[in-house]
Amino acid sequence: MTTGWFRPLAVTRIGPSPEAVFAVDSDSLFFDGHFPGQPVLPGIAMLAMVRAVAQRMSRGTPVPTGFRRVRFRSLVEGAATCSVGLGAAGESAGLPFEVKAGDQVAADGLLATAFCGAVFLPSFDERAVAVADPIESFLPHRGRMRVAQRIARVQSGLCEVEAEVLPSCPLVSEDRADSVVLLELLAQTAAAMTGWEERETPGGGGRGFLVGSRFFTTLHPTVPVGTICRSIVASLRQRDNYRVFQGQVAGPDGSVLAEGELQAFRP
Amino acid sequence: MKQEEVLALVVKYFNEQFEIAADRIKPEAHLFKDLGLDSIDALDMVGYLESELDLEIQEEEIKTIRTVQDVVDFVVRKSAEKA
Repeated sequence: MTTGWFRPLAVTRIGPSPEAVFAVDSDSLFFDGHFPGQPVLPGIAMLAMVRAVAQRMSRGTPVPTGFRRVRFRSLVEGAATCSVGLGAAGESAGLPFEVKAGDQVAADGLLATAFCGAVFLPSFDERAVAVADPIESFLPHRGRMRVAQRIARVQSGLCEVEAEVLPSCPLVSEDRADSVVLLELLAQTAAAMTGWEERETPGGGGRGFLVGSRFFTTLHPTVPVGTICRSIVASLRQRDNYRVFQGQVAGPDGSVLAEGELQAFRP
Repeated sequence: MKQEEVLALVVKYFNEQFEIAADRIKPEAHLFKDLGLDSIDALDMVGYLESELDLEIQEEEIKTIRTVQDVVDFVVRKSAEKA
């Protein structure tokens, strides 16, 4: 368990549909920069809790590393007590989960037991530019919750970000980060692109929240500290304040570490 | 576009996007009550139809859409207007 992020309180149900309760304290490291002056529990916190429940109940068998049809249904602002329930595997290849903060459903979806989805990214073209400005100019994330470190290149609808998995990264334990941090990296790549578009295009961009992920697949459950990652995200479609992105995170040798589809909404 | 073509596209979208079994996606199925979509899903569907079929859809045009058949009728009509 990763110290300082959330605390397991109790297992409240065992069997085929286990449930456990976690505490997120007001000084949780998740609120270190997510966001300054407006503490919001990041979606990866809830997904990490889901994995923690699955891990505890797995009795040594491998825990699924992917997610499907994830929907973040309400903002969890500040300290919270979260109950995480897993269901039995149904027709689809996944374990249904639900995360509640108090009485309110905060997230639900499937813990994926099979490869889920494929990402096909467009290529950068002559419109792509290098960005010298610090990434904080384009992102609201700060402190430990800023995992994206530099925009390598960007054009409207397509962005590449560089990042190193640092010891201070979210959910690091024993020199390895829970690979859901790569979902946060994809989300921050999308946010950096949107921030850049907002600056370049009058009326474009704007700050949004992650409302879901149709699929997110990782190759490994954890990523070693020190791993240099390249995250590329493309805008798939947009309607009003709603936007869908697909993205991929590659390791230093170019191998794919994670990929997924994200849904964001700008209030 | 013909009704059958649009229905096939809509079934493919619901099946791939929301993993709804094809046999549940009947013309009379209600998007929210029977297929379990929510407001974000509806935004996604409209965005998908716009990008896949190169349509421009105004918000007021979709307020009366309730069922799979409503979606099909709407797309057929919009495609005909565009042609």
